[in-house]
Amino acid sequence: MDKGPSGSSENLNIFSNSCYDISQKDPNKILTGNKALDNHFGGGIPLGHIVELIGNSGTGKTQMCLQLCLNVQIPKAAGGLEGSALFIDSRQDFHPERLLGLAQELENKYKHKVPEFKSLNMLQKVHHVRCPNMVQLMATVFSCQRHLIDHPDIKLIVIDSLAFSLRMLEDGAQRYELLLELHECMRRLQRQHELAWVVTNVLTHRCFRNQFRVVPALGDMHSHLINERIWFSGSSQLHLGKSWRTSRLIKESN
Amino acid sequence: MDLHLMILQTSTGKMLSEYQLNLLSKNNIESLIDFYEADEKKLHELLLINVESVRKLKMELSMLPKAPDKECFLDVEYGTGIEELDKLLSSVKQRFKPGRVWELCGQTGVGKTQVMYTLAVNFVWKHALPVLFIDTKQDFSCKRVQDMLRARNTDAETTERAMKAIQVVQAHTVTDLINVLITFDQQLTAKIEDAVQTKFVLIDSLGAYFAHYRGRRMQRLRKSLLVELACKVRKLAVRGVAFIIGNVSFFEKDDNGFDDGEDDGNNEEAATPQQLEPMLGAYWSSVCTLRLSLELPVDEDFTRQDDGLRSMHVISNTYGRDGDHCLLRITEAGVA
Repeated sequence: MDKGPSGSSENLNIFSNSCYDISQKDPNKILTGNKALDNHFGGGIPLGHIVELIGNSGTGKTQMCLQLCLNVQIPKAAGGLEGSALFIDSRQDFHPERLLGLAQELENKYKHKVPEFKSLNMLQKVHHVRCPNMVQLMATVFSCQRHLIDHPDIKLIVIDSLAFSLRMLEDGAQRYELLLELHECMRRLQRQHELAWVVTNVLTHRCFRNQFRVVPALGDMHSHLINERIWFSGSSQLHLGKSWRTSRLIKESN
Repeated sequence: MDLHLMILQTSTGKMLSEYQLNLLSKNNIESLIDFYEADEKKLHELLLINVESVRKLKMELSMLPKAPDKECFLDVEYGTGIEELDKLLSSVKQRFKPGRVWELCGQTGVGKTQVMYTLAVNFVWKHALPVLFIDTKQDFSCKRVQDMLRARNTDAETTERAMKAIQVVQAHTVTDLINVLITFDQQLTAKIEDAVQTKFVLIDSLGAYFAHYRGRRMQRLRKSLLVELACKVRKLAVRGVAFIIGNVSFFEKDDNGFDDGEDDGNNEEAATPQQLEPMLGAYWSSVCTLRLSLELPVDEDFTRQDDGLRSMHVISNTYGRDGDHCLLRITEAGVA
């Protein structure tokens, strides 16, 4: 199971990719639309990352997911990726009207630069899959390989919400097993295709040294396996960091 | 310099087969001096070549141009560039030198990667030698390195030079990582310039590979892969390459991580005070000569925002005592 595509040691060149070379490459980031956040990421969510959006309901996670689905489509002429997005919906919470509203805003924003960037075309490029239970979610993630071959321009896959379907399972061991399975599958796809994953998660309570604390659901191992976590709070402030204790406030600059 | 390579450079030596060369090392003839001192008759019997050839070979070897011995600066001290950490390290009798294999543990999000970036940047800064950064989660961010350099008020040219010196490799699985190390070793033997110059390798982070290695069979596989990895790391360390390997720690007893944060607090076992335990089990804990653990300062008021203060603990040390700690502060410019 550890046979990756780069399994041979013969033609492995380990000294050809310096930090400088990477910084000179074409930007491959998805704009988030939040200036401070983009600034922090150096131009948006990088392809190849798994980013988690966390927060209580109604703090704007889904909104951000939808926005990202549109921002990934910004034409190359305007410095975007001109890709498309796959939205895996486990809460039946996908509103096309909401998406249309955001798309129209984006259309207005880019009216002068790229007039052919139309909101209705944008909606066509957001593929939507409904997964009411864990079995379907697993099946969908496993079949992403096929979707990606049919639609090679998919650059973003959103799972909203990852925690929701997982937490419906009663058996903790099974839950954990499936979560790791999902992680492996997400990483495997990222090795073969340039794409970013955005998943959403919720907060839960946990007893720690006889005190209850609010912590992210899905456990520490999950926290380690994701690349970055964005915290949404009620006051529309964003924090960045793996745990609440060490997270930094993303300041609205300029 | 390697005896095999030297022998192959001579005209008589070229006739020897690889089997014969291996016989030499099997009989503890590893360096040029060993070869000179070995009895002519013994070599004759061993290699099945006549005594004249042995003499000729010895003479030719002595006439080889002396290469400047690049690998012989094992006594150099690098220093980490973090003052507090250097103090701590010298107090536990283990300074940062070539050939060190260290492990850096810590909870998720505590700042391990930031420490690693700082060490990489400091090293490039101070010694103008390249470093190899092995990235396991596609996590490497140029932006963070760039920000770190910018916060130190470096000019564009120095920034560019520093960034060019940090080589990044993506290794998505353990097998990939082992292959990278094997290639490194081969290139070192072949004296490829880049490989010879690289004296410092950072791996960030090892824990992520083994997340799905669960169950008894996978645990065994994990152990065998770790042994193989440890061999490769050691092999390079002997040749003067320093390693810092990132690992993740959890608040739990075994690293099966049978916990996804859904505990309701009724569990008796979970209510007892828990200890931070690095992943990867007992075998791995003996591989590195020094284990450092980056921790949050103990503080009951968990609503307080992060002030960047961390404590670095020495949790195990082959050469001296452990248990010491020092305070570090994470800043924009790295760790100080």
